Parts: sequence; C-alpha cells; structure tokens
Amino acid sequence: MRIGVITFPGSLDDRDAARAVRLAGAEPVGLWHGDRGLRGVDAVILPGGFSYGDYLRCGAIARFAPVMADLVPAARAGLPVLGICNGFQILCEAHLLPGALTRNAGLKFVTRDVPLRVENAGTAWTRAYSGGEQIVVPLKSGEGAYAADADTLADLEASGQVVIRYAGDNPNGSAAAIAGVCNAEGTVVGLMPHPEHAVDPLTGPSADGLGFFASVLARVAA
Amino acid sequence: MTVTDTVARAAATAGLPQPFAELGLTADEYEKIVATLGRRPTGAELALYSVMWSEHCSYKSSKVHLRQFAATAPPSGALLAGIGHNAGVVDIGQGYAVTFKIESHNHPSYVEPHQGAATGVGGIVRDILAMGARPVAVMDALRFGPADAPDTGRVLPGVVSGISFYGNCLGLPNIGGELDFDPSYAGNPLVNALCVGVMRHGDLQVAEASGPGSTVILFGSTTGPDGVGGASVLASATFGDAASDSTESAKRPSVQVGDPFLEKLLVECCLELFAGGLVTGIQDLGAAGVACATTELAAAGTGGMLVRLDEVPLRDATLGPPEILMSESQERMMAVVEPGRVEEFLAVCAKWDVRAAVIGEVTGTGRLVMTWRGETVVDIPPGSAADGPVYHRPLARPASQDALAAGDPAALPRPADGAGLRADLLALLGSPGLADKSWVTDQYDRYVRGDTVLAMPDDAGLLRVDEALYGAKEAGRGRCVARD
Repeated sequence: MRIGVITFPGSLDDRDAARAVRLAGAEPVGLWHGDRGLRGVDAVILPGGFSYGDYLRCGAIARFAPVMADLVPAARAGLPVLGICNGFQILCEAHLLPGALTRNAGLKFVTRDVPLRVENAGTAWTRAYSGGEQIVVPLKSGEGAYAADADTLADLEASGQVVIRYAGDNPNGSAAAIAGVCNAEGTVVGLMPHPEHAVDPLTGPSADGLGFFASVLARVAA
Repeated sequence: MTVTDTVARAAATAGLPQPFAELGLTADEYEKIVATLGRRPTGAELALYSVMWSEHCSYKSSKVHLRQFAATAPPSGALLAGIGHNAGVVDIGQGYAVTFKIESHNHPSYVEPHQGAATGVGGIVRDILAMGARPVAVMDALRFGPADAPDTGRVLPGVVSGISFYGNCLGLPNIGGELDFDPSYAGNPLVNALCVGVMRHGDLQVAEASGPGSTVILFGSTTGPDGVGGASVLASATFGDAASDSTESAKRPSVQVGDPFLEKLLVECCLELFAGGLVTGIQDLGAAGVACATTELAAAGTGGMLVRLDEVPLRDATLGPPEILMSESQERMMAVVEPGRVEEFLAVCAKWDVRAAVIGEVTGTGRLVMTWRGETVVDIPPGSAADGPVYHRPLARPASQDALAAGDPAALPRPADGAGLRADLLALLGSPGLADKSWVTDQYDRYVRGDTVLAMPDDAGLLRVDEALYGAKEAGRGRCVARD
C-alpha cells in the first residue's frame, strides 16, 4: 500500500503526514511539486503548511504546480485524496472541493485541541470511524473559516458531504461549524484540523487521527 | 554624478575629512583604522569598520567581562562548540548533539513590534542553521510594561503576531517561553528569541573560508537598502559611493522585513547542501550583513578573500558599495565551496528556488579585497575588522546595590489577618504575569514536526530528538540562558 505525500515549497507537515501513513501500516511516498506523475501511488495526501508563504490567497499558487496537472484528473477518476489544512485550501482552489477557507473570525492564528464530530463515516478517509463519533484533533490555522454560498451549504448538508464538524465552540467562524467536506463520491476529503498530529499520545492530544489513514488502507485494500 | 571612492583615490587624497563620527566611530578608532591601512579608509572601508566595530557586532565594551564565562567555565567533554561560535553545541549521546541559542531583539521590537519580533526569530534560526543543525523548535521570553499601559497595547499584540507569523510559516514548533509585565519594561520591552537545533556529531559546520581557490557564494534573499541608515552620510558629494540621495535614504525602514517562506526554503536548501558535503564553510548574515560575513569568514580561515560586489544580487539597483556592505536584508547565507562542487551547489539552490550568486573566492593574500566596477574599493587585513577594539570601561558599584543585597525578604510585611490574605490572593490572581497565557500561546503552532512532547502550558518544552532514540531537551536550560 503506497500513499503519496506532496511537498510544495512551504509545506510543513509533510513529514508528519508521512509518519501517520507509516503508523497506519502503509508506505509513504514523497511526491515533489515540480515533478509530473504520481509514481503509481494508491492515494495522495496534500499536507499542511504555508505553500508559497500563503502571501497570496492560501493555496492559490500551489494549485498550479506541475504535480497538480496529474493529481486533478486522477482525483476526478476516483483516486482517494486527503487535504489537511493548507492541503484543504489547495483542493478548494483546485475546485476538487466546494467552498473556500477565509480568515478566522477572530483574525488571529488559532492553535487548539478541538473536539470534532464525524458526520459522514462513509468516505474513503473516514470509514474507520462510526457516524457521530467524537474525536479530538489539533487545529492550527489562521485562515480556517469555511465559507460557501447558501445553496452550496444546503447541498453539502443534504448529500452528506459535510464530513467533519466542530463539536465544541466554533473556533474560527466556519459556516455551520464545518471542519471538513468531501466531493460527491466521498473520495476527496479536505479538513482544517490536523489528524496527523493526533497519531501518538506522546506527541498529540490523542491517537484519534489515525483513523483517517487507516480508513484509506481499508478502502484501497477492498 | 557619483564618484567611486577607490583605494587608489583614498591613497591620493590623504587627510580628506570623513564622517566617521556620524557612523559611530571615535577619533581614536578612526586613527587606528588609518594606522592599520597606512592611508585613509575608502567610503566602503569606513562603512565596513563602522559596523564591525559597533558595540552590537564587536562587544568592544563587554568583551572583557564576557570572556570570564569561557575562562571560568568548568571543562566539559560534552561541549562540541562553545563561546566564539554562532551557537553552542552539546553532545547528548549516541552520536546526537543539540545546539541552542537565545538572542534579544528588543529595540527593533519596540520600534516595529511585528517585524521586529519576526526577524528576531528568523535571525536566531539562521544562527542554528549555520552550525549545521536542523532547527527543530523556538521559544520566546517576553517582558512588557504594565499590561494596562497604552503602549503595551501596541507592543504586545504586535510582538506576538510577529512571532506567530514567522515561526508558524517557517514550520518550527513554539514550545514555551515566558511572559511578564513590569513598569521597568515600558519603552524597553525584552523580546528574546531562542532556537533549538539537532544534529549528528559529524554534521558540525565551521564559519571559515579556507583553501585558496575556493568559491564564495551568497545565497538566499536579495540585498536591499534595509538597515543602512548610517550609510546615508557617505552619500555626500565627497563620498559619492551611495548613488541614491539622502532624501530617499531617510524614508527607509530602520527595522528589517522578514520573509519566513524564503527562510523555510533556505533551511531545507542548506540541510541538503550540508548532507551532500557541498559546503566547507558557512556563515549566516545578520547585523552588518556582507561586511560581517566576509570579514569573519576570511579572518577565521586562510585570511584572504576577493569579493566582487557587483555580483551581489540587489533588489535596489541604486545601492553602492557602502550600502551593500552594511545592508541587513534578512534570509541570506554565505558559503565557501570547493570549485569543483559549485555546479552541484547551484543545482541544489535551484531545486529549492533559492537565488545564489558566486561573489568571489578565497585567496592566499591575507587581505580582504573587494572590487566594484573593476576598481578596488576595499583592501584590508580581515582580522583588523573582525576583532575590533577592546575597552576596559570604568566600573563602579551602584550605591543601591548594597541596600538591595542587605534587604531581607523575611522582613517584608505580611498579611496579619484573613482580610489581608484575601487582598494578597486577589492581587496575585489578578496579576497579568500569572494569568492564563493562552491568548498568546494559542497563536503559536506547537505541533508542527510532530516531535513536541511537552509545550505550553507545561512548565518546560520537551522534544523527541529522534523517534528511534530517546528524547531530551529540557527547555529550562534555554530559560537560564535568557536570564544570563
């Protein structure tokens, strides 16, 4: 089982995502933003960080990286893709996921261990959880407020595309407390909290995040 | 029309008055430069000596006292690099070593809190990088004036946002620090940035330019007019090295602007260069920029270096030699590379989108020579600039010291009854220095890199040094450095 982790200039949590993949029992494969091809991986993770410094709109430059020219059609054809934080922002900019991430309601960067509710345990990246399960995972972002127009939000709710929701206080002003969404097929998932930082109680608040990486293994194996 | 103040021109125009006092040099120091060179310095040389002999760079007044640390420290086999290096390196066993350093960025953080604090983080990270280590965490020890003072409302949020902006974007966990308030810090906040790095013993890098024929490469950010306010006095008709006029100079910010994204690329680029064995000497550019890096590399190595200042990539084409030498533009490093490895070196830089320029080479002449448009504008023995003067300033014990030392804490008034205890307790609970600090620490990423075992609100930060081995870096040590 080989799971690719893309490194963009300014990616920071690529090493952590690779570690989470390894702990889940798969082989992490480094993918470089400037290279073409996905090296035959079974799934891809876009990690957190500040691609291109996020000096422009978050993810707006990374979506044009050469590797994205191969990732986007593969994702549309069913390849499981997980975007974490900056990776979620890139997936939205690449139109693989609906909506956008905007400045936090408090206008400050927020690092906090947040309780989350798994709203859809049927996606490629959440099937190791049960529907309605509560988990605790770190959130750390300055532009994490999920935003979409009213029709899109209604569609997402109706079709079960809201995958993860903040279960406690809404930490950043996200619409409907949405922390993560998926595409219609449930193969592409993006979320602002960082499950790769909750894979070992030694270094994280819990090991609750490991389920994301275990989920895709079950999916790929099936 | 500007005239380049060359070495030849300086030799031919002895006795020409020079603005040494405006650049912070005393008459004695100026005479010492003239005696060293056997002629008056050029504008570029005067700029170079003025920044290298500043208190900030040379510690000319404090050196005699700071030396005691090295002289009186108990010998330790665990110290792989000590005083005199960019940062200390301590053996932690099993082939691993940690390096850490704390540095203040107080005044810039008071003038422009956000960028002042941000570039404080950036500067300390490059010091750790220059030792050959991977930076793995940062900490900050902060002191502000009273929490309810209007200016604290300007300084504190700016400092915190600057640390958050730079450290988070750079991808280093902020694992702890200090925050306290006292009227003595009003107008003079303390902003101390600490960085911790991890390396294998064999990764240790040196800051020296050895081996005549080796190539000198400047890489990272371009060189701009930031932090060169002092050079404007050289832009007179007599010393027309600075091409831009003084009106323009006056508009320049005195505090540098940080680019943490570029620093992240620089960190990864340097570590790949080190891993490939492509570097024989490395120095970060901090205060006094190119002037400091070239003189210190040359003085610590073979002693000779030729630098073509025209090759320095500029972000402002109007800069002249004094400004290029004094510029404090951030996110720059200087490396010494064997000639046969230059192509590989440049390829690694290109991979990380880091700009690199060959600006000169190591020589066997014992002189630091710099050229500009084909003419020599600097020709000095590098040690004379790198070492600087040493002063034994007069000392006196302040009268208040005896009273302070004689004071007995047991004699302090104590609450005599329940009401007094209640008042003291409420005062403590209401004290900003003891309050919950999550307003500050929630703005810092403590998780990135996935090796943080303890961080705020724990009493100390603790990092896993390597997953396969044990972890150890007790942050309390870093705090002790801060208080020293």
